[in-house]
Amino acid sequence: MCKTEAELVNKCIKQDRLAQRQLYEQYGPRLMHVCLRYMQHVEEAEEVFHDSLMKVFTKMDSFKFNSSLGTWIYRIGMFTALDKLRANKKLMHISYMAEVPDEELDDSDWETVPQEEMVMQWISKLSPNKQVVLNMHVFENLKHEEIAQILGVSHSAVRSLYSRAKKELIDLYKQEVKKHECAK
Amino acid sequence: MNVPNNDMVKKLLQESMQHSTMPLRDELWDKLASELETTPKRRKAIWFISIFSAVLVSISAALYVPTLLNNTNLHATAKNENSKTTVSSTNTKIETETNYTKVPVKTADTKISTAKKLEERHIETPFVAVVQSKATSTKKGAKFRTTLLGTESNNNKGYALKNSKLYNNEVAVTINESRGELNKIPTANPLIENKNNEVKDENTQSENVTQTANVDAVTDVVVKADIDAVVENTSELNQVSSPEKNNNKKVKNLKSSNDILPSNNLNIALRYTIGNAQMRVTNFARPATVHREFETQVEANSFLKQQVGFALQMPLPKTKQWAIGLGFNLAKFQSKSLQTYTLNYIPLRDTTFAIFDYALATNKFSIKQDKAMQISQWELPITAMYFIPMYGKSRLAVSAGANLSRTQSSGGDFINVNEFETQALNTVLQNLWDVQWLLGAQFQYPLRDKIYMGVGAQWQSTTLQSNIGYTTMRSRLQGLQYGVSLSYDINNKKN
Repeated sequence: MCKTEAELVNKCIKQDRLAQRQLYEQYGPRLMHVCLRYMQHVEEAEEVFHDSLMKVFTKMDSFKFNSSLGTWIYRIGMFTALDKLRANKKLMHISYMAEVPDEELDDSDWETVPQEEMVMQWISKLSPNKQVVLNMHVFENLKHEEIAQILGVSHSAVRSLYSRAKKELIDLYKQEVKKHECAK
Repeated sequence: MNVPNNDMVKKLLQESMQHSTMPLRDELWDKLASELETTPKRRKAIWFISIFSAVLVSISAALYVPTLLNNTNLHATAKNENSKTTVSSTNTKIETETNYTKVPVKTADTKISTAKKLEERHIETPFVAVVQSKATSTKKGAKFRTTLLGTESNNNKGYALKNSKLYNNEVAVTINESRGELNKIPTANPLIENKNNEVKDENTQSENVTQTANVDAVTDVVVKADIDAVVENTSELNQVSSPEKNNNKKVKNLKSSNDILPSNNLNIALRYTIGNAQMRVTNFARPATVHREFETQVEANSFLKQQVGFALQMPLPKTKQWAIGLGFNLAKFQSKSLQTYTLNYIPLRDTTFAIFDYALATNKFSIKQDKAMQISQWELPITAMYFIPMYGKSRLAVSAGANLSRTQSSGGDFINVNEFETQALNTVLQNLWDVQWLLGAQFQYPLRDKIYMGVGAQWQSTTLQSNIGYTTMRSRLQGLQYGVSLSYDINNKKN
């Protein structure tokens, strides 16, 4: 059992199966969550998860400890998912898309932290482009400029995709609140 | 209320998923562990193939280089030997030395004993004739009698000794530059047959010239002559009369297969082929969610395949007709048109699910391509080649071998990998290593000395296999291509 990140990395580089298993158990569940946020089906997410971990294990020697090991692994997961989406042509090329006007983004009623399952359900209802932008901005904490660079689209396209995704989430939240009130 | 700098939605979402994880199925680790086991093996296999190819090249080179050096050093080594023939004309003197022809002359009619050796050892070139020069005595001023014995071409055209170079056995001595008597023989008289060439002086242009020569030893000298001009419609050289028998004895043509087969030639070839290739895709699916197996077949998709490449063809030592070829090709497959696929579901096991009955009932589905597909490959072919001499200097090369290839693809041929999932075929045929089998035949004919033009056909076949989730997809890609090639014999020594 490795106690430090460095020890774990070194053993994984040496193809120590126990260390690899430890890494899998330590970072796998979170990585799978990352994959599920990007891919619509569990099978696809598992495939991305598998490919990501293969990359992690085969490219472990390129990890330079500039970030935490977890961040590095989840970032690999994100890029693998993006590659998969691109290959499956699920990401559409966006040349222009108008932003949602501010008045339509009324989230004043939204104060409670939604349940995780609910959020996952909402995200899965978004189009792949919106899913990706939302995931990258909200959960990977990437700036719009960085997202635009990674996806190869304009900064304004990322902004409008994000605002549209947010609007859809607000609408879904409101629907959920209404449903809840009706049930009462 | 949209507050970009104070994004409430973002905060709440982040908070909701702050420590989110997803439980993992045990099978995921099993699959990962098994692939971690096989990846080093796969790498080893690729290394093994690479090293094997390199060793093969090295061995071929090691076996081949001494032959090459032997050939190129022939002149140098010859000088150390004993036999010596000195011939001088009015103005010039030529010394020729030979390393293995030492034929003591007892009479002027000694038989040719070196012709066989010449045939075996000489690297032939187009239009090589074998002539025999005989000194009639050892005395100064003796006459030389030069007779054309035959040609090493199987072409029945006659050859005139125009602008000829004479070689005393293996030693290259350009007698024509100083002696001139063979130069002067008119092309209208193509054969020097039973002529007593007595050289008077080098300016004489007569069929019967007198030669003034210092002859140290009367030697039966079998010489070779390169001939630049071809004279049409002359007598058959296969049946040139021997001088010894006063035209009664036929001398066999000295044709040898050595001159057209690559036994001593390293050959480099540039190739371009074009042809049709067909791809038939078969899916064998075993979805984990539904416990059954089924197979999907797609009607063949037709491609236009183009291939460019080069190859090094190295003769195998001690064989006259076998060579090994190593090369590099770039191939591109272009889908000929947007096609509609028809998929047939073939049940293999278990029909408990209604959806399967649906598949069975409808049986066929059609999917329209949205974008023509392209596949590109680079290939490392290793082939065994067998050369068969044909008419004239032409030859037929039959080859069989294997390609190690790497496949990439683009374009949007969509295909059902199982009932639930449609995948772009290009994602399936991405970064695949595979081994292709190939069979080919090529007719090569000489454009010029050392340069061959080839036309031929080649059949290639491979099965690309990839796994998509729980589906194994096999794509069989095969086709016949026709092509042209230009090849160059690197060490086809003229002498």
